[in-house]
Amino acid sequence: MESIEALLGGFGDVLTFKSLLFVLIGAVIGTAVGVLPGMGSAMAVALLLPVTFTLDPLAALVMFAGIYFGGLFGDSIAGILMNTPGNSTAIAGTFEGHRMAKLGRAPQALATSAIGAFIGGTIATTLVVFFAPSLAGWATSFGPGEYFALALFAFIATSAVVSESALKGLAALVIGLVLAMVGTDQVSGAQRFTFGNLALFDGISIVVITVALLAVGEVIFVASKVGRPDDRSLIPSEGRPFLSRAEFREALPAWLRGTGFGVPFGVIPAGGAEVPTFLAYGTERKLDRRRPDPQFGKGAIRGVAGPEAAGNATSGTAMGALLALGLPTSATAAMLLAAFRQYGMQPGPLLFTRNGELVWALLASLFIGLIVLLILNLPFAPLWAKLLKIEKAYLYAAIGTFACFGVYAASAATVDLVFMVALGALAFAMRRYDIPLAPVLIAVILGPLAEESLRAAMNNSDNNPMTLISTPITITLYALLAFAIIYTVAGKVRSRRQADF
Amino acid sequence: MSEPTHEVHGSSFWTGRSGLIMPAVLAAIGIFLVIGIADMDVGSNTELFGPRAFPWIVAITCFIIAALLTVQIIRHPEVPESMLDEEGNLLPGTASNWSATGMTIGSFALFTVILEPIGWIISAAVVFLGITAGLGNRRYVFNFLVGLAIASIMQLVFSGLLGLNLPAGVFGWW
Repeated sequence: MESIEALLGGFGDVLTFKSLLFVLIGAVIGTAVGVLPGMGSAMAVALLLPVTFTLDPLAALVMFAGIYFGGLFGDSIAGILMNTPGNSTAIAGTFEGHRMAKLGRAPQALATSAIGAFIGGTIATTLVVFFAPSLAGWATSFGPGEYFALALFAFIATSAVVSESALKGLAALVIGLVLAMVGTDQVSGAQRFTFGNLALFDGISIVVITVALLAVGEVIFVASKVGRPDDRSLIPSEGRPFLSRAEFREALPAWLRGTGFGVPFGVIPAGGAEVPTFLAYGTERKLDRRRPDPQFGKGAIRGVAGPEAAGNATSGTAMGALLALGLPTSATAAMLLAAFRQYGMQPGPLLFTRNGELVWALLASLFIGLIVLLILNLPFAPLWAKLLKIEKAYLYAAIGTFACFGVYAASAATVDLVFMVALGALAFAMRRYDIPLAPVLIAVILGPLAEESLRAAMNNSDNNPMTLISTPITITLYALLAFAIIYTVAGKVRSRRQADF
Repeated sequence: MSEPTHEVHGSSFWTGRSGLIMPAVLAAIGIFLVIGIADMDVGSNTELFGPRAFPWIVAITCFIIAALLTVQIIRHPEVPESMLDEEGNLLPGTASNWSATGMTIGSFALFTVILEPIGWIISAAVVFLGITAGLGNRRYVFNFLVGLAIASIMQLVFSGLLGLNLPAGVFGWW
């Protein structure tokens, strides 16, 4: 019950005009970037990081939390109305959602998606409130061995298991690890890969890396596609986006099942919400086939409800893993971690004791944010779709200009702009050749933790590698990782065999 | 791996294999790491897992992945979906619009060079103009003016309200 008291205290802190204003700003920005294809909440947080460091931490974090959830509310709007999911997390919900829209049920599809995101997010955040403190308490006993296992798990899961090609995922991971190593070694003080260059002693700033990868690279990629056919028509959503009682009853079990899929995936570092959304979609589809009157293929409301709830439930519990373990499980979570560090806070077991007030205010703001997002999305979804009519050239030019602004404002160093251009070009090449960007971010954020914990573990044990697998927690993590790898390899071998026939 | 590979007609060796640039980049990063490790001054640090250990692990991984990726791309060339018609034939032209790409990268590079001497407002308008032009919008004068307006608003909002510093450039001369 301590949790409830602390949460009420958090509501007290966050129910001020200023905080509510920032929740609203975050929700609006989050929905907007979610709606626009190619843009995600990770990019929005990256662009805003450098310009918010003069804000007080609570205001900025509350805004980022709004963006974090808002992205998932918005991304299904473009998917349903235009068949261009705003982000990979919206793909699963788009199949049936776009069919519903084609059949004139766009408002119902949008409502199902918004309510699903709300239900998934709310249930997951409630679980975080009750379990994150105990998770953090349990994690205080973690030593370097455990942290190395967690980081390695996150690396392999996000790069090799989740991405389409394990090799390409690992290539991205390695690039991230290298970017993180440049600068002064935190343990020994040795200069690494700076070649005596003073500007590099503090390493390459996380702001530069993220803005370059997510924003500049995207702008260049969009430019490289100029002249390609891109004819997507927007289906207008007419009528009030509310569900009838029967539709609500139809969608409810799928919302809850979707949440069930999403919740566990937020805690394990498996790279975001793509997997649970597809699991939820697959389950609804299988259940649908057994019904006397199968709806899938004809615009099934449950095919929208399940994945949407799963996506936001994953984000909700991912927030718990971020706060309690300091473990980012998606690109956006990695950006939030960077935001915490900007204010001198380190998410992880000690955050609840050191910055308790702020954490509870942040959790309270998540609930407020979800309500704000529901209000913003339920009646106004067709309005948001108008964003899709902004001319691309202006949209991306504004993003590019803002990226230049943010990078320079953060450090006032021209060398950072040079890195921005170089990394932006690299990010473009990665996009062009289908190399995922999320593993780079995870590696940049967790690379130093992985290295320091590995060195501490080895140096404390006279270089005995067995120390890495000496506790039940580490053994469990490595066993899970081995299982995930075998499962993925088996799945790929099976699909290759099928493709041969 | 499991990506679909297409039998492509009328293609040269490089069709679908331009992706070899990525293993080349990885190998270059690996060489950079090895040079950096050799150059590193670790003082009296004699621990096996000192500041050099992790870079070694990453460098070796770099070379391994670069080699595997090279083999994969040579054996299974990847042509982007957008470059194939319905029957799997190669469409003419390149997958990327290189003049637009170059224009956009060039705008960012130009911004980097001119920001400090010329100042934020004009440099930002130039980068805005450059990107809109790269994306195929030809209203150059209008776009430059839009860029000026956006740059000025950003200067007012963020320098004024949040206290971030931007170079004044030519506007600081008088």
